[in-house]
Amino acid sequence: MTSTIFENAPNGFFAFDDEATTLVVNDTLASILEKPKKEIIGKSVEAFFTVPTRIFFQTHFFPMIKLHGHAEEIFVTLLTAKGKHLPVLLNAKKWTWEGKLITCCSCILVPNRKKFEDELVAARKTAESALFENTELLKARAELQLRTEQLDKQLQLVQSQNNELQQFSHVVTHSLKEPLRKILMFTGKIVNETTAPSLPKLEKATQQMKAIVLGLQQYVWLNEKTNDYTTVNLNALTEDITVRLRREFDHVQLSVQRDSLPTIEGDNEQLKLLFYHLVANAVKFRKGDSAQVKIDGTVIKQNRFRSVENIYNYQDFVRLEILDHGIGFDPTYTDHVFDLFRKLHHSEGLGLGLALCKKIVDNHQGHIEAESKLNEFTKVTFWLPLSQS
Amino acid sequence: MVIDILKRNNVTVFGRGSQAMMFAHGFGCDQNMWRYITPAFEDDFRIVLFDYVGAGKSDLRSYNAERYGSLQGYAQDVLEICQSLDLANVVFVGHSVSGMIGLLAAIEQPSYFSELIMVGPSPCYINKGDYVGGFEEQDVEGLLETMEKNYIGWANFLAPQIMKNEDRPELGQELTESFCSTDPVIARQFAKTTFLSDNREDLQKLKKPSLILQCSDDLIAPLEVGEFLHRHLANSTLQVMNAKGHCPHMSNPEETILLIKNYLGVMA
Repeated sequence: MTSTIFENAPNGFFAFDDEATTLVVNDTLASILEKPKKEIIGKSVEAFFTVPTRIFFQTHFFPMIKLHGHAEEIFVTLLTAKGKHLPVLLNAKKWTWEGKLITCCSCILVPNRKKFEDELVAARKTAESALFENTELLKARAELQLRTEQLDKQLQLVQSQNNELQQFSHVVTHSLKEPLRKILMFTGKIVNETTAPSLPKLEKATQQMKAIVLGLQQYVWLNEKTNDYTTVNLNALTEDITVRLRREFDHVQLSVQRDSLPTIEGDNEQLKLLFYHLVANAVKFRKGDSAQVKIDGTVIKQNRFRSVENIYNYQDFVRLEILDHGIGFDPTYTDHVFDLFRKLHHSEGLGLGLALCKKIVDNHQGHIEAESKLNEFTKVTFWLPLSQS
Repeated sequence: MVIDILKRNNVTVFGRGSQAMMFAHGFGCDQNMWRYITPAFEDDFRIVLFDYVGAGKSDLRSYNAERYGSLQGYAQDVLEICQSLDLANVVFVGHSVSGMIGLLAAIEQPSYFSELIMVGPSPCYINKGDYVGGFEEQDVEGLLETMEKNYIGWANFLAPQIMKNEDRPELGQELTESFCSTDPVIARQFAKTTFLSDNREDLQKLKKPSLILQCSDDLIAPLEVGEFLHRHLANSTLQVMNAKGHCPHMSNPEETILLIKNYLGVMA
């Protein structure tokens, strides 16, 4: 009697184990599914779910039952033997039966309720999106106003600083050059005419000053020039640089090992200078007669916005790593390696190379870092956007 | 503005080991889904659990549609947690979509990770050309619709409840919280981001060893997908499990624990 009632109750019933194998199903559900019980029992419950319901079952329903022990008013769609999609509401409860954890579910067909719910969902969506657009719009407008004010202030500041800087760099690079040329000329003359012992020192210091002015001129040039973007093949570029450095340092055994590097949009002149300085550093600060340089390039996605908070736009960047096992530098200087005229070694250089590199990376809307361990390695990592648009 | 990452992502840290083992939940749930797994690793590892922004008890105010419209945004959550806790050599265990989130994080900052363990991962859920992901785009639309429908009657799904669980009384009182609760709008976006993502091109960039735990009979990540991953991830190990479905860490925690332990034993 009880069994007949259960089999023909006005709701469908099924139970399954933790592997989703159907253990029990009543007659009502079998007739809803349009197939005999024996084709349902022993098979996965997912066989009578539509694909979206199966995803929902795996991602929401199963974890929920597992952790909560029960769930009510779940909306799912059943798939009948004839391929019909039937919307049902489902209540589920987990318990132990004959030593096995099982989940029991009863469901009722809700075709009419579904129509009503469809309308409800559509209406809610419309309301939500209107509200969303409205609040977003108000928020955006306030944000825009604020940012415009900030931008205006910053623009004014940048403009006046730029003017000053331009005048200053003009003085340094042009006005200084002429007196410097004269000093050099007259020192040369005096050296020829007399033999005071401090004269060669004077000449050396003046020559050094000339080199500094030339270096500054290059830096100023990078600051003021407009970028000339083209498509740059980094494989060909690093190959050229390697050949050039082998010629310049013909007494050094230089080996460059590199991955296949991508093609990026950038200023070819500047990128050449960038790679030249970085690889040349590895050669200059090598240990012994040979320099091994490893260049890695990986394309990753990064947020294009680096200064403004809470704004995201993920774009393709290439992360380039230039690694050498030379003399390295003291890691306490890590924060200053890209400063202008910061020398980390007692060498002949000016301490300008890495500052130029940073300038070039900045010009390309990228960023650069360096890490090192004294007498072990130096790794310079920089990120450049694949496209400049 | 300094954001408290540990609060934002509801980060939980416990365990008696020194090496960190980070567990990342998948779409549809939160850190509670790891409760059957973590006890087995507490003695040997420092366990790190968290909820992605928008899931569980994370800070919903930190949600940003642009950031989390891409799996990269979720990977940033992982990296920011690693940074906040000053982690290195992390064993990263990611369920489902977190397999790919972990992959993206490990490509971006390899130094944080020692190996990745992916439970039911897939680099692309949609069939494309010769590639079999398992789904068509309309299936994803259907899923979004199913989710919408459930949010109507979901008050009891989401609200805190006391679990009446005679089978596992040890889970007791602390279960008065809601599980796997997710904000409906965010969940919808997460579903889209997850199921429409395609990370096949990124696989070759991973330099760390990985373990793929492939369930038998998993609709969401079928066997072909596991094999595809194994072919394209250098230094990967593929383990086909007896566990069926998409949540072996819940349906068959014993097997899941054993396979992870074996793998870490071999790697150590």
